[in-house]
Amino acid sequence: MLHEEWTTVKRILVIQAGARGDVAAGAAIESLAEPIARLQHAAPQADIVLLCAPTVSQTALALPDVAEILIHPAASEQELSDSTKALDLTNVLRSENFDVAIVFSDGQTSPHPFAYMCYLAGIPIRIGQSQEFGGGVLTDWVKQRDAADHPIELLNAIGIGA
Amino acid sequence: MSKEAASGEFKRVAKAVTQRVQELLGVQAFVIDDPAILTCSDRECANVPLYHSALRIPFHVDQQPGEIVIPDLVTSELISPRLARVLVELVIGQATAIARLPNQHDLKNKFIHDLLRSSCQEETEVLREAQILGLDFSRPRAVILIDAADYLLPSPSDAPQTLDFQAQQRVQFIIGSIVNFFHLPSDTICAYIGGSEIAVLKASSTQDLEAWTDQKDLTGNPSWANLAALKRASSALLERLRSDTSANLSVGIGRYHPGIRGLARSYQDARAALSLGHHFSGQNQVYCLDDLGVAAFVGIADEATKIDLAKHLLSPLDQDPELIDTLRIFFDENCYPSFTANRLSIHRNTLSYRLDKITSLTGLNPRQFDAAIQIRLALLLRSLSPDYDSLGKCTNLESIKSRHVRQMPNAICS
Repeated sequence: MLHEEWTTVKRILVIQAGARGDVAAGAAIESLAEPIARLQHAAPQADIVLLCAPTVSQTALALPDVAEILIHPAASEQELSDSTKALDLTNVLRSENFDVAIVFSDGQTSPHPFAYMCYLAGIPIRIGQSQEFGGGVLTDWVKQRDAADHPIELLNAIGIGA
Repeated sequence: MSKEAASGEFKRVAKAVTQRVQELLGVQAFVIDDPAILTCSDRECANVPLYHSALRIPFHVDQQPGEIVIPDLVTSELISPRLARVLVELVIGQATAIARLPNQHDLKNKFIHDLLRSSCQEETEVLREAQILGLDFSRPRAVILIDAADYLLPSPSDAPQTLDFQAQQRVQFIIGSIVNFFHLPSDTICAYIGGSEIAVLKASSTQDLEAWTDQKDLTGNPSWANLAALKRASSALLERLRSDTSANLSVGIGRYHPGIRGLARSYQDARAALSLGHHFSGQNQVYCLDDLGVAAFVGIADEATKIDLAKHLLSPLDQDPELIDTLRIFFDENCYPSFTANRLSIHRNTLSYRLDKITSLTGLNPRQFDAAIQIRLALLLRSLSPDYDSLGKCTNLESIKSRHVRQMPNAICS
């Protein structure tokens, strides 16, 4: 995705994959503050929407650049395997008309399941970082260099610098 | 579910899965339903030997097993088999979940079934659900119940738990035929409610039934208003359905009862009429409680419905209490005209005139056995209703009774 294209984006969905357990998930959400600030800087006109599970919604509320928080039970890895909840999540995402979805991961978890939900929801640009190539599930795939990659690395790779 | 229906669903899932895998992973994929390849993302796939496959994942749609086969995972870059497996399983899970979802027809059928067969639902909840399903319950509606056992069930005595694929198609055919007959979809809400019954919730205001209304139709009790027009509409509908299906069908008509819960009462009327009519008169007819004669009084368990029916049958005489008095004395005197005329202190010709008038107003001739029983039962049942305690009673009955000293033969006189 080109840098100038970010200026036309209206709605960006941010998802944090991985980080099991409430404490780890809360910390992962907190760590999104800087990446989201950078995103907002690159796309100042865009609304950034964070998808999160109910257990971390309070942490998400503290993030300053998030326009909306989308709370859904399927937003946690283990719940995503429930096909009924996953279908419902797909319908919710579809109704929100996102232009871009960015799936951050903790380095241990694949962004592809969430990216697949975004694909089903018709989100045209799906950005994520993983060690494995997953075909067209991620439209903008960034290869992960090591297990400790930070969300900032993903943004750097797609041209959203500091 | 029958094998045929399951197979249709399996094919839909298989097609969705192969297309999605091809689109997402950019690799060739096909589904096998042993022993044949069922669906394939690529025309060349039939030439691919099955033992050379990078990924094979079994799955089930209902009870039918299948397997998705991906011969090669190399595109511009090698897709990790582990990741490919996860993704394909997600695709299968999503496709089968969608296949399991009830469609709009199923939801509507279930909603109408619950509405007609259960009277303990919250009215606001029912209306809210109806709104979601796009059903208009702001108009008054009565139930027309169609028994299509001969057309839908191969063996009516052995009704299956679910309809097979062919029977489902037949249900849709009948519903399509009904909607076409009444022209306006909002005028007619149709649903398959299990067994061999298709319920039509027909808008039943005078305006809605204008095409079948006759100037001579009597009004009166709102429950029975427009019933004559509804019967004509139902007869025409039955004729159309029989012509379209070439099968034996029967129709029961329910009265209009106000409110959303009234539909359940209308359904009970229609069901009782259909059941009694079927038993006594066979198939291919339209049945309504007020046409069933004595059978209606004997066959209906609900006392309130029987009293309503009695009131309805006698309602044309409401404005003429003298005729009610005449009937009471006529039955009191064992239908013997001379004694009846004597007790009423009228000429025998006057009695004959009154009996003719009763026949003309009610359609029931008190000189004939079946009709006489109906009127007699109707008089008895109506007297159970507090509204009619004082109506139609002979003012000088006691004095007349005192002169009644003769035992007359049990004869119906003409």
